Amino acid sequence: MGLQPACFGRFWEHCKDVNTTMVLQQLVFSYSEDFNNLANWWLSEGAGRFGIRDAGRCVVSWPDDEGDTALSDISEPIIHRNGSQLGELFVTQLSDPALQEKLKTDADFVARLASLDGELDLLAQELVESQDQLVALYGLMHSAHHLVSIDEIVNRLTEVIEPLFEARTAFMVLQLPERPSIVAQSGESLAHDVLSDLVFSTLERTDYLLINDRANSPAESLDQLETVLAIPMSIRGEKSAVLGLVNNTAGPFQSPTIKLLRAISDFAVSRIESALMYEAHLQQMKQQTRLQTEMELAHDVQMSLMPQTLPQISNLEIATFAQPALSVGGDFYDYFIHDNDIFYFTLGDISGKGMSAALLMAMTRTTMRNTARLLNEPSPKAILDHVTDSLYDDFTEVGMFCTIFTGLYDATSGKLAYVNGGHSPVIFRRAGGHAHLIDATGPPLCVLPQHLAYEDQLHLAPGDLLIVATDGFNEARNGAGEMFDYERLLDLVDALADQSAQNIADRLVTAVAQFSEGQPQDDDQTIIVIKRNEHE
Amino acid sequence: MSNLQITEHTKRISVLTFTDRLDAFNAPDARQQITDQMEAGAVNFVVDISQVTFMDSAGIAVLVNLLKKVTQANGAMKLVRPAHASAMRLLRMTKFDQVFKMFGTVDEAVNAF
Repeated sequence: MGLQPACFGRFWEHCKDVNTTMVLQQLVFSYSEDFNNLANWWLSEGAGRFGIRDAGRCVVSWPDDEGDTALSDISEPIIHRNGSQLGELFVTQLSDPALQEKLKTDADFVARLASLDGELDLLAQELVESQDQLVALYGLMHSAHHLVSIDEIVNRLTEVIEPLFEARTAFMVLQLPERPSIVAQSGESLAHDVLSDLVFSTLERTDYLLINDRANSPAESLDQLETVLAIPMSIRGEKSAVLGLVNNTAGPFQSPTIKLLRAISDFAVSRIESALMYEAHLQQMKQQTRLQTEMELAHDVQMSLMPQTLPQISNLEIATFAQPALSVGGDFYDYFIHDNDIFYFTLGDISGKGMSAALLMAMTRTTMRNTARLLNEPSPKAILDHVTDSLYDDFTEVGMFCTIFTGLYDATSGKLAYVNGGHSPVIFRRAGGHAHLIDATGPPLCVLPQHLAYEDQLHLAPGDLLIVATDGFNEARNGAGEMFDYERLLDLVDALADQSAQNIADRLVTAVAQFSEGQPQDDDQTIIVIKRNEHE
Repeated sequence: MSNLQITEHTKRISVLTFTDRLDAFNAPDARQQITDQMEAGAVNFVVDISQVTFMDSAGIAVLVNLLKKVTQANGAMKLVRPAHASAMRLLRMTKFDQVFKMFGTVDEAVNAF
């Protein structure tokens, strides 16, 4: 069996400490058969006694009686390979020089048994040690589970690792990009330059830095260290940390220690990586919460941009509803009463959804409102021409446009002047007639630098119904991917026509919601229902 | 010595063909393809939607977006009109037929450049 000198060394020291006599007794006990064979041979050759002596005292002998050990005729020391002596073999009543040679062979044999026993002993001891280490490692992993910050992990692990080994110093250094370095030491602390040379030299290695002999030290400052074992650690694929032990009190660092330290470094890497992930997750959650708060605020702001109270026009009933698909959207409606009985109203749908649409929506709504108020003789056509001039470049910059329906209703004459810029659905139903779609009078707003729409007129008679909605209604889909579509909408309007404007709006919203139940709302839904009173 | 000089001009025209549908589901993909083409230097487009059976507002937004981009880049865009009634109906109803130059076939559209 190939034994390493280091193991011998350790074993031998151990033997001296314990007591040579006890070791010999233990050896005879362990290999009693071998010793019996030896003794029988000598006794059959005519020996009076065969035995082992230590420092002049008989440890064991065959036959096992109290004889005078001084009477020995030949003896041979049991010499270990490293030169130290472990008692001697003796034989009495024989003195043939040829037998002296045989006794020497036997002494060598016993020395080998002792070595073998020593290694077994060492292995057993290592097993016990590694079991202790495993228990400690388990404890370490267990205790590390509640650690969430990277600082805590590095410091606590270093603290817990140190007593697991027989090194005077345990250290861990972590250098993550865009963060201050974290340096943890436990035991005797190392000077800053020593530590930094250690980290530098270790990060250059692919496996580990092992110094068991000062002559091999890679840097001058490391000469003062007796032994070093340091392992580079890759965090997220970048070598950015080192875990190490310095000055082993139990001689050179051996393979079991290297393996254990590597296992711990793997564990540390996984802990640090999960902590980084947790941090990122936390950060993301914080951002999401902030974003959500901002979106809620934006939703409130957007909703407040749309009129909160219904207008009082002598012969009109009006109802409105708006529901963005996301927190904010690109749909809007607006109205106000202009010069007594002139009622301005508009409903628009900015292409796209979410924040970008919402920003353009706010801009369009306000530009429309200001233009309608400021024009001397406002007409839907004049308003939209002005708005196109103002907004075309902004819309084009982001490749968006806006379908829009804008009307001015004169309550005195019942005349509605309107422009329908590519908007649908716009539903008109004469009292007693059938609901039908009103065509656009031109393309949407800001598709072209000039708004090509013409202005049209409708006369609202008592009981007539005008509904301007956004495509979130007709394009709502059910689970089978089928669209609500115009036909259902028109049929429903016919069925609801006798009801109040508010009821019609509520029922349309409910019907579409029921149709697309379980499906996410794909598009913003906005509607204005205008009904001329039947009894004036 | 001849005083005759011959130069040849070729105009690069990208033909985008959509089939089946041009709607909210495939609008992002269509937008991406257009962006890729324009990044590769294309400014003249023929968009063939003759085989598109269904189009919605998101689909139209893709076409408007392209029109605005090519106009800014001094290019042009021609449309091959949908053969299907429902898709054509949307274009008519929203008056986009006034916005896009429309042709019956890809060849006609290409020859219009």
